[in-house]
Amino acid sequence: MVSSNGSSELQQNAAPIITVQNLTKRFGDVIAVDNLSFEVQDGEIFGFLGPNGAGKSTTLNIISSLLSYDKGELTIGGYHLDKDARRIKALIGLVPQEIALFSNLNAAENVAYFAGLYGLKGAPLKAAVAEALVFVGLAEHAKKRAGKMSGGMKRRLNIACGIAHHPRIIILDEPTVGVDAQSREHIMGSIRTLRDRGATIIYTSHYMPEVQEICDRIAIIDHGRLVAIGTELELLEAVTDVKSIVIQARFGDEAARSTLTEKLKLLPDVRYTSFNETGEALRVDVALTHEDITPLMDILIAQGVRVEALNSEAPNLETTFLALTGRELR
Amino acid sequence: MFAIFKGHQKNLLRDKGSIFFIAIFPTLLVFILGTMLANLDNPDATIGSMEIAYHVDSEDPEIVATVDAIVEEFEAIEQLNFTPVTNLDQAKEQLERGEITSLVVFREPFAIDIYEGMDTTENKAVYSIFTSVSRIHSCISTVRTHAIVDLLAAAEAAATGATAPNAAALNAANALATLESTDIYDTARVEEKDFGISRTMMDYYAITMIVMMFFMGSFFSGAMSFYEARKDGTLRRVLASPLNRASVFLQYMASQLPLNLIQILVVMFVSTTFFGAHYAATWQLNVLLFVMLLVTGMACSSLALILGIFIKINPGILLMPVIWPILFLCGTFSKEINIPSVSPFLPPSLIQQAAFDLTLFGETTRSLWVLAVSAVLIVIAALIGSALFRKKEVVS
Repeated sequence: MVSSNGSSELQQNAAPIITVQNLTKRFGDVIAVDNLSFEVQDGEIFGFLGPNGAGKSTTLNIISSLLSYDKGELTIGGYHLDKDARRIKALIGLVPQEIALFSNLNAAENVAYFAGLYGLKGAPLKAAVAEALVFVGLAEHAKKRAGKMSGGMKRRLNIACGIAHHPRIIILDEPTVGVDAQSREHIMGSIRTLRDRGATIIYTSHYMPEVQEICDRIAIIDHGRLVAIGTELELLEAVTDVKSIVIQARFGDEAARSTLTEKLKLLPDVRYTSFNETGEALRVDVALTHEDITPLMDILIAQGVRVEALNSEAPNLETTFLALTGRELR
Repeated sequence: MFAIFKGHQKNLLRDKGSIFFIAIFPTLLVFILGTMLANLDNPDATIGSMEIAYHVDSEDPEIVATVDAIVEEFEAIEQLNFTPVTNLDQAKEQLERGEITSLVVFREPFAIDIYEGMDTTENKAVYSIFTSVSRIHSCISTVRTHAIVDLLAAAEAAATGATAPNAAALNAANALATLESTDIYDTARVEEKDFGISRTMMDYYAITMIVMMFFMGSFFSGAMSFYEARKDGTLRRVLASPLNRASVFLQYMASQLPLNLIQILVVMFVSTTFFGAHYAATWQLNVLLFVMLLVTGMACSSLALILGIFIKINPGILLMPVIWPILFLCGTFSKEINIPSVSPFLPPSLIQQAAFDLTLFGETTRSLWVLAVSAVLIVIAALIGSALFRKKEVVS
């Protein structure tokens, strides 16, 4: 298992805001969460992944105090969940997967309703509502009823309702489901801004590129247990430490190909090279951390190779997830 | 503190479905039933003015005087016009031509012959009038006979040397005095028994409708409240907030109040304004009726809210098979349905009885009992519901 201490500077400097230790939750004979332990650092975007039925919703419900638990210890923002549930709730903003809005209330009224549950009222409430709507780009639609909004607008309003009270921890459960590319971009940008403002974000999604793009660290759980946790790179390295570069070109005769191979092997990050049967495609496995392909290109040019196509076949989070859980995320 | 309550009211009043069920549906029901019941109140036949020819076939001055008195009394009724006739054959011809309604012949000893006219309804009316006259006359004759017997007894007692009037003489005097003072057409007494209100079928059905609607509506809205909130995900958000769970339950409970209020007001307003329904005789009793119905509706909603904590399927599936038979057994849908050992003891029947006591007879005992029991049920539901809501994992 990958270490929970991520390698990025952010995690190294941050303290855990959520500590989950040996968490267990049963539903009758079914163990939904099995001795789960992890930490979420203050100010990070923490991806929480798992196939359907893996126990991720149960875990998030326990963190949100919506469900009780059978065993374990949870500390959130310095408070123990079993003793200070109401204080912990005040720290959290929940953005559920389903669009949890009153369709007959307008955008401002929806945000005011949910922010009001956190004790905001009067001028501070109005200011919080206005700020949240500006934040999600719905200020111009403040008077529009939720029921008459497009799917993307509803998603954004759903987020506004969960963040208006300025929570320290924001749980975003599949916030981009069913939205268009424009709204998705807006939501992703908003999440980064929230993180930059100091909020800690727990993010779940079925859409792997999103998780790769936005999360500082990722936890993968399956059958209620933690399978892996770490940065994206750490997770990829847990499965493999190489990525492949496939070059299609006219490499010349066998002697020329052999010379080329010898020269490429001298590069520090190159682990393995091989030609296909026709000799028209060269596969070069390099270290996962290898980013600069200029030395490789220099050798190809020096050998008089005319490159027709070049593809990088890097292992991604999806293949990593598949390797770790044996199941696809969707 | 009242964020949930306020939000729910706004959402409710803007929701077309809710408005339909709490305002439009009751209004339509009142209009449909009101129109149907208005037809029930319409007369099957209308009797206009009746021309009654009469003839006294007697020389007895007492009978002539009695008939004159009867005719004089009847002529006070504008519809009845009495014309004395001497020629019976001519009168019978007039009858055949439809020029008069009927011909009445008073004979000795106070027998009445009625010759029917062309209109059967008017004939029935004339029959009923003179049948009652005949009976009254019979009663009067009996009392008079007894009075005369008593007077004779008193005279005999005097003749035999008794100095003070005996009991028979006193009874005779009292009987005659009573006869003198009796007005057989004392309409004031008849109206007094009806509390001065002319009742229509709508008066009865309006109460039945209100009870049916809030019994059904309150149970459904109470049970649906958590179901809907669970379905649209808002309950999850509410429960994730730091708001005390007991407070959440109580606010959901309070949110039911306007719904009950609007339903009752709508039925009362529409039935009164458009169909002339009458409720209680005084405004105080009407306020009591309104409060009783409101509190009872709240009790139903509150109990249903507790049900909503447990059931996660559409409450309609569970409630329909229970509520409809209860209403059916209470005779809500047909007055013919009444099982003596069951119907009167079902909650809707008890509420209806209390409401009828209040509106028809001005009796408050039952309504105060219903009010008190409902209030106690609300308090119990609030306590149990709050406790359950804190313990139960409402969102799984």
